[in-house]
Amino acid sequence: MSYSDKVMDHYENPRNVGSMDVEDNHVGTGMVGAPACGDVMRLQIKVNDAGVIEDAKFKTYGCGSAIASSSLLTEWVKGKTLDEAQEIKNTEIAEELALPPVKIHCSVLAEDAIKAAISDLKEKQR
Amino acid sequence: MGDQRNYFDLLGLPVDYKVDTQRLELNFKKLQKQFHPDRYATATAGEQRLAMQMATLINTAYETLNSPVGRGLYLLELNGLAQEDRTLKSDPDFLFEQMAWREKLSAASSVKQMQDLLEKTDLNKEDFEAQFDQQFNAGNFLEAQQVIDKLQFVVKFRSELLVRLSTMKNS
Repeated sequence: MSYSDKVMDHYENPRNVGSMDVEDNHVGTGMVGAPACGDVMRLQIKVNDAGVIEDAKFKTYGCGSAIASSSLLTEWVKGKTLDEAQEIKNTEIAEELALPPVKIHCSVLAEDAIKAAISDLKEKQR
Repeated sequence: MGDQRNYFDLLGLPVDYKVDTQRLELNFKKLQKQFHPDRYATATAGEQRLAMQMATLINTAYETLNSPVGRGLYLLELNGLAQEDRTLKSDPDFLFEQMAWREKLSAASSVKQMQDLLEKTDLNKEDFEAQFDQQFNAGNFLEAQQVIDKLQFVVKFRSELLVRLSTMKNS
């Protein structure tokens, strides 16, 4: 199976790799994993007081498609409000990266990760 | 031939997560011999095809039952829990630990460090296997499914670790 150019680009030059303080009240952390392939993904967002995502970081242990999906997502969510970020669909990620059907679940994982990060943040700020 | 027996019946084993591996091995080899294409060299095309199908089924059954993950997923499937792509998100602590292990492996620079990690991984693997056995036998299939999901991460990590370890030993 060959990866698309966009997947290769994110795989070779992943954006926003790193971590933020899990305890920070402005940071939401989403931890998800895909049992079938053993992929583990951590996605973190940092919001300002206006509820806009200022920064995003990720760390993914997994295949190229999983890394690309999370890398792309960190680029997309920056500057978005939580509500806007909540609306991102895995199909948009899959389409942008031209993921083949067997790799669609990697984009699902990324969507699950951002949703988990948002709910972690809301839980903290409640 | 061509019946609806499950993999356990086929390989002459009780339907259970605990498997007598010697018996599995022995019965597998017997069946493999019985349906070997060489024995059907003079058979009709129909018989040859059936023997081929049987040989394939025996291989699949053996591979499934010989793997702690495959066996668990198959037992759940027999009990109505379909195998599908799932996301684990309900257990951040477990996932943080998995991430920490992967970070440790990336940072490991000696055979000793990796062997320590392998030892811990093996204990972790045995623990999840025991947990699955317990939950499954108690009829807690959803809980058993959560355990097997975790076991899959551990097994995947273990195989990556073994690859890294052999690369390091050989260099």
